[in-house]
Amino acid sequence: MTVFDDVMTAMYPPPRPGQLLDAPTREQLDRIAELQARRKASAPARSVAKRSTTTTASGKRRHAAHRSRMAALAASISATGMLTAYLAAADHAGASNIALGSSSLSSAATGAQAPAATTPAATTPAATTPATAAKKPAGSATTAPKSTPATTAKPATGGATSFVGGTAQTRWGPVQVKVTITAGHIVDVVALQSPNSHSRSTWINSQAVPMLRSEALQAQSANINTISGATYTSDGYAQSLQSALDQARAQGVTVG
Amino acid sequence: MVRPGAEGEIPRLELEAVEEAQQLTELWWYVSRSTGLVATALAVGSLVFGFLFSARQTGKRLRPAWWLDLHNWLGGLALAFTAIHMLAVIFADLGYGLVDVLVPGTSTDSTLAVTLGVLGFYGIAIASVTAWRRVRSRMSRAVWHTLHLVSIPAVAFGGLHAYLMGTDAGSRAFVLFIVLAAVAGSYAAALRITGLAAERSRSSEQILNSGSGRSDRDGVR
Repeated sequence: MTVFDDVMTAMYPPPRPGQLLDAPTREQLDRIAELQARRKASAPARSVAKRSTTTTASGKRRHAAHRSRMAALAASISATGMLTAYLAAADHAGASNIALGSSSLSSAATGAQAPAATTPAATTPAATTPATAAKKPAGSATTAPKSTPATTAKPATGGATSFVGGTAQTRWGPVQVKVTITAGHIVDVVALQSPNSHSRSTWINSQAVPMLRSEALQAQSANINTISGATYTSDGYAQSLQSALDQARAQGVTVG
Repeated sequence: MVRPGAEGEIPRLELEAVEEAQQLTELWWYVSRSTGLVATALAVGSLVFGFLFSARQTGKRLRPAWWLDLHNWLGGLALAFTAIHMLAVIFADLGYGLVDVLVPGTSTDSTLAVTLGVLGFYGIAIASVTAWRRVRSRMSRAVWHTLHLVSIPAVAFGGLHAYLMGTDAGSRAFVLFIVLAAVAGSYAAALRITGLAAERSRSSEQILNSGSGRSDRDGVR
């Protein structure tokens, strides 16, 4: 029973048994019955319209939002393509996914890439973490890398002394650095070892290691900011650097 | 790995092969990021369409069937793009395997973020698959509705996953995208909730106004 039926029943109650109907009333009742029959006949068509799919005359199913569907598909594919191109261009332009924990250091890190390329570390795949590593605030530590003690101290030319730090074992592999100290200043840090199990890591490290080197040279200590996207590498780098500096201090070479 | 040759030079062919392999994995890496973002946008779009449809806020210009159809389609697309995203992550050589992207909590790196992503994928999968007419017809409306509601936390998990992974979280465009998605989703959800509340108060009024309803509720008779 619909509202329409309720109203009609209220307006025109069914005749009591034995009641005689006059001609106009009978005519009206006939008209109501005709209207109800028409409504019932049109009801299935309306329910079809509510469905999300309809069947065309040729028997082919057609979706209600057929054109919009195709538009959404095309938009999604083109958005993926454009985003892929944009991300690649942005990364290669230097605005990569690797961001320094401290934004103030970004200019220094960019400037350090050229000199770092001349060091032996630049030709070896350096330490890394996957680029998808969660962004963590600067200085936050993840799983502590296991490290082996520093091994050698090599006197370098021109009063410079080099110390090789211990090997820090990170989740992605070992990280080991060599620090060169001249007149109480860190003048160079070279990454000797780094994980290279994934080719993606190699690519990330070509950017992360120079940044870490720059930070170490600027800080003149192992107290360096973590690079987001290369957290494990940063931690391992800092640990190895610290062990090299400890070794230097033990041999009477002070920094700073 | 590029190794120096006997004379300290890098063999040219080896270098080219490594570069080619790196370019391929890089491409997968970018595809994984872009498909992840597009999948999130599609999932949010589907959610918004679903909320508007169920709140009867579809306007007069377009038929409800159009909204429902597009809602289902966007959900399916979101699922497909999420699947491509997961495959791209595996092919991008990031250290994530099939188990990491399919079993929640198994990833050793960024465990929480990856787990949220995996759960989000399953949520979207459940909502999309049960929206299929053939599957839906085999379950009661209450069961279907409960399963369909899983899509709401699933989309939220997807957004959190994207933010916690951190790769693009630092960019302003990404933050703007997340904020816009959250605003759109919240607005649509608010419309649905207020519509639901109004609908309930209307139906309770009808019950109270009808004789049988009054007698049942008040315990009269």
